[in-house]
Amino acid sequence: MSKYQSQIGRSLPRVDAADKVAGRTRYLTDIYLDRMVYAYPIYSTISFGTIVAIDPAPAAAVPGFITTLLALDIPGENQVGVIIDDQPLLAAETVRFKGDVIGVAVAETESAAHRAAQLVQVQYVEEQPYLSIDVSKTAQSKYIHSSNIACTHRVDRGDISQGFAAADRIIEADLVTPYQEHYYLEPQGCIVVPETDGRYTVYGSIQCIYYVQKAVARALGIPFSKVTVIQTPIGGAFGGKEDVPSELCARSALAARVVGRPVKMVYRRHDDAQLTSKRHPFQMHYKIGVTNDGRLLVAEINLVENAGAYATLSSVVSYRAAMQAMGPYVIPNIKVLSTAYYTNLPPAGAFRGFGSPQATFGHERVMDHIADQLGIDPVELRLKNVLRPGDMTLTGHQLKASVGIEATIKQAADAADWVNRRRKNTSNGRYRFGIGIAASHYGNCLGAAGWAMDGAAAKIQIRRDGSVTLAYGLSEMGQGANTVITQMAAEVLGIAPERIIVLDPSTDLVPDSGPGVASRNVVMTGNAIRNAASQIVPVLKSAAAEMLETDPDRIELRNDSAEDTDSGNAVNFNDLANHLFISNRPMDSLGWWHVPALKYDPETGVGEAYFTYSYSTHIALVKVDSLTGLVQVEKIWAAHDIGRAINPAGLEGQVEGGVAQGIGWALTEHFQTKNGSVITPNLSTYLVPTTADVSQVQTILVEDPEPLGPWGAKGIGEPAVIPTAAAIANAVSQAVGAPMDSLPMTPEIVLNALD
Amino acid sequence: MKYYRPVSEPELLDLLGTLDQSNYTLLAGGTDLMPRFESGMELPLHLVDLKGIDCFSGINDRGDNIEIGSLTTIDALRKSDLIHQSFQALWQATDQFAATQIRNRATIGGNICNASPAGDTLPPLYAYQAQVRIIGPAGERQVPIADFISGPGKTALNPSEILFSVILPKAAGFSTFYKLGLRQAMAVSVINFAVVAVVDREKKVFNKLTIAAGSVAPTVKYLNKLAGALQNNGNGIDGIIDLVDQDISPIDDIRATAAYRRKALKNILAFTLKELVNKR
Repeated sequence: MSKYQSQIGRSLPRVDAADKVAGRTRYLTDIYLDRMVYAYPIYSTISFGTIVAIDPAPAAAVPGFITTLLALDIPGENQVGVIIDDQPLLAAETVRFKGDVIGVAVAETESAAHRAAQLVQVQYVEEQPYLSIDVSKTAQSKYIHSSNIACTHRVDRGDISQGFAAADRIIEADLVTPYQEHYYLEPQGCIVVPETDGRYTVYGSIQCIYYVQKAVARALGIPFSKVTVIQTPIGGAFGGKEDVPSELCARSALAARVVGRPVKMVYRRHDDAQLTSKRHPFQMHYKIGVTNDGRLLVAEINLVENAGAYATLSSVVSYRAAMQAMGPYVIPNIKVLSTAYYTNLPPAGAFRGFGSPQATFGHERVMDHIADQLGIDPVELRLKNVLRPGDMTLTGHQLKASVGIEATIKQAADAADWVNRRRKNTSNGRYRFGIGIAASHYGNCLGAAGWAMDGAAAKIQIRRDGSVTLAYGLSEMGQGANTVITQMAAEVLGIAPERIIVLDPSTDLVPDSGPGVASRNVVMTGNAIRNAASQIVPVLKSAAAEMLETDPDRIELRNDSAEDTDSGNAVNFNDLANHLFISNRPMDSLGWWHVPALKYDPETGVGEAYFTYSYSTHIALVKVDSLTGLVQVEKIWAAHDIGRAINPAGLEGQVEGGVAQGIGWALTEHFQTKNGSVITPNLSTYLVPTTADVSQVQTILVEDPEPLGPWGAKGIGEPAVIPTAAAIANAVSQAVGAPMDSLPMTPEIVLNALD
Repeated sequence: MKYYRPVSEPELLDLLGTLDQSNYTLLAGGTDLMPRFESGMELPLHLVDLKGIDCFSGINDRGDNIEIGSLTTIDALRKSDLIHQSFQALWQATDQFAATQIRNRATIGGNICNASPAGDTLPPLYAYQAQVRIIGPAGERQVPIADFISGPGKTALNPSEILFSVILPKAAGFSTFYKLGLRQAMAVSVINFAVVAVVDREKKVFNKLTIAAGSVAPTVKYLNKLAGALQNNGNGIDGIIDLVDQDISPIDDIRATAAYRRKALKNILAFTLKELVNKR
C-alpha cells in the first residue's frame, strides 16, 4: 500500500498568499466597470435631531454630478436593521448620530460624488444628544428610539442569596472597556450592477452575502432571486463587514436602479471611522462570593453596553457577553443582567470576539482581585474552579467532551515558567516587570439566540479533467478559510489540494449559509464538506470499482487516485473524473450541516447556550517604564484548545494576529470622540500596533477533539483575541502594584497608578 | 492644481517669482503634505516639486561645521557616518523617526518647514544651535533655527524664498535625543528632547549644557532655566527639575494631557541628566 499523507493537520501554505504578496489580488477598489459611476453618502452633521429641510440643489453645481437620492426614492422598505428593525436605510426624519446617512450623491467621478454629498444642505432641529451610557440611562423623555434600551439578556441560575449567605468573602469590582475600531486596511466598499433583466449583481468586501441579498431586495422591493451577491477578496473585516455592507450595498442599489449604470461606493477612511460600527464599550460590575480556599460560589454580574445610535448586532453581542460572563469556571449560583443602551454615537456592532473580550476582561480581572484578596496564586485559583468534562457552564450546560481549558492553563503556565516569573517580580529600578494570566471560553457558532440560521452549505463539483471547484457560503476575510476548506475537501476526495479551486462566495452558488461570522467557518463548512463527501464519495468509489473491475467497498480514495486495497491496482483521479462523466454519474454534491438542537430557556438564560466551546489561556509578560508609564509586552504565551488544528501554521497566524489586536485594545488604540465626532479617524491618531509593538507570541495547541467538529476541530478566529487584553491588564496590575480595571492602559494612566 | 518640477535653482526662483505666494505649495518628500491632501485640505492652485533640483541634497563637511541640503532624506542622515559620529542626537532622531518608508522620502528641510511642535529632527537642531540658509529673489540669508520657526506650521520664509540648507556647528560635547511616542514606530512624539553637554567627569558637573524640548509648546523650546542652574553644577537634579515648568507651556490633545507631558518630561530628563553626569 502506498504511503498516505493526510491533509488534516498539515501546514499547507495559504492558497491566496502568492497573489496577495505579489499584489495581484483584485480587491473591490481595483475593479472598474464600463460606464461605472460613483456614489457617496450624504450624512448627518449633528448628533441628534429632526430633519426639517433638505436642499440638494447646491450639489448640482459640481461638474460630473448626476443625481441625489433620498428616503422618498426608496421603492421598497426604508429599513436596514439586521436583527431589530430600528435603522432606516436613509434617515428621513430623525437623525441619531453624526454619520447617520440621509441620502446618496451620484456622480461621474469619486471626487465629484464626494464633493456633491458635502454640498447638500440639510436643516435640522437639534435635540440634546446622549453622548455616554450614563447620560442615556437618565433619559425620561425624548428617547433615541422608543426607549433608550436596545436590549437586555439574563442568566438566572441557582440561588444567589443563598450563595452570598454561604460565602466566606464577597469581592466586588467595576470594570470599563472602550470602543475599538476594526481598522481593516481595506475600507468599506461595493459595486452594484443593474442587469438588463431587472436583476442586480452586487460585488463587495462583504462578510455576509445573504444579509446583503436581503437588504438589497428589501430596499428595492424585489425578490431575493433577483439579487446576486458576490464576495470580492476581503482586505480585513474582523466583524466590521458583517452588517455594515448591507447599508452600502442597498444604498448603491438605489442609485444603480435610478441611473441604470454600475455604481461604486467606497468610504473614505475618515468617514469609515465616523459612520461604521465598532466594538461595544462595556461598563461592568462584578460581585462574587467565594470560600476562603478560593471556590467560586456565587456571582451577580451587571453588564452595560454602549450600543451607539442603532442596535445592529447589539442584541447578540449582549447575549454572548451574558452567556460567557463568568468565564470557563464552575459557578453554581449566578445572576447576570446584560443591557445595551442606545447613545448618539456611532453604532457599536460586530467585532472579533463579539462581547467576549469585554466579558473576559470582567471575569479575569475579578479573578485576580479574588486571588489578591485571598492570597492565592492566580493560576491556582483558576485551576481550582475550571470547567472539566461533566461540569456545567455558568448557564447550566453540562459539558461532555472537548473541554480543554485546564490543559490550556497548565501548558501556558508551564511554558511561561509561571511560578518563578510571578514570584520574581520585585524589581524597583526603572523598569517594573509583571506577568498575568487570563482564561476564557468561546461558544462556537451562533448559539441558541441565532440557532435558526446556524446551517451552512458546501458544494463540491468535479470537472471532467479531474479538477475540482468548491463553493461555500461563508467568507475568506484574511483568516485562511479558503486554505482550510481546500484541505478538508482534498482530504475527503483523497486528492492533491492543488486540484481544488475555491470559488468566491456568491448567493447563486449555494443555499443561504447564514453569516460569515462567529468563528464558524471551519466547523460549519468543514461539516458541510463531509456531508457533501458522504454523497459523492460512494459515486466515485462505484465508478472506480467499475473501472478496476472490483467491489466499491475495496476502493480507497487517496494519493490522487482510487485504489483497490486488495490488488493495489489504482486509477488516476483524472481518469476517474472522466469516467464519472461518460458513465452518466453525478459530478457534484451539495453538502449541508446545521448545528444540532440546543436546549435553552431564553427567559432564564439557562441551558445549552452554544453547542461547544473553544478554550483559551493567554499569559502576558510586561515591562513597565516607571518614568513614562509606557508598557511593552515582552511575550504572550497563547494556549488554545481548538479541538484539532486543520492547518497549524495558519492557526498560529490567527493567534498572532489576535494577540496583536488584543495588545492594541489594551494599550495603544485609544478611540476618542468629541461632541459625537470621531477625533481619531486615521492611523496617525488611532494607534494600531506596529510589528515593533507586537511581542513575541508562543502558540500552544491543545487538541481535545470535539465530537461534532470536522476531524474534531473547533473555531479559532475569535478565541485568538479574547484573553489578550485581560492577561496584559493582570500583568500590568502586578507590575505597578495597583489594579488596572479600565482600558486602554495609556502611559498616563499607568504612570499615575505608579504613584 | 498645476504641478511644476523645476530642475535648477534659477529656474525654481524664476518660477516662484511668477506665482502668487498664497497659491503655491512646495513639495519635498510629501510625507506630511499628501496625508493632509487626503484628509480634506483644500488643494493649492500650484504645486512645486523640489525633488528635481540636485543641489538641494547632500551632507557636506565644511570644516567647523557641516551643511545639510534641505532635500536630504531622513534615511540619508541616518546612514551618514558623519552624523552618526559627530551628531548623535540628530542621528538618534533620524533613527526613531516614523518608519522606513517615511524615512526614505521625508526630508530634513520638510521637517523644518513643516514646523510641527513635535518634529523629531528639531530638538537636536535647536540644541546644536543650527542656522538655516535661505535663498530667494533678494539673495541669501542665514538665521538661527529658533528664529526661523515662529509657530506651528509657521516659518520666517518670505514670499518666493526657499530653505536651501541647514548648518550645524560641529558640536563640542556629547549629545543625546529622547522620543516618547505612544507606539514603537510611526508615532507622533508626545514629548521629545535633545541634550548637548560637556561634562567634567572628575567633578561630575556640566561645563556646558543645552536642552531643547519638543511637543511642550507651540515651537521647540530651550530649557534654559534648568540648563542654567546646572551650569558648572551636577547635583540635586531632582530638586531643581521643576525649573522646566518655567520654559514650557504644553497643552492637552488626543495623544496626552499637559500634566502628563510635564511629568514625563521631567522624569525622563532628570534620569537622562543624572546618567550623563554620573556615568560619562
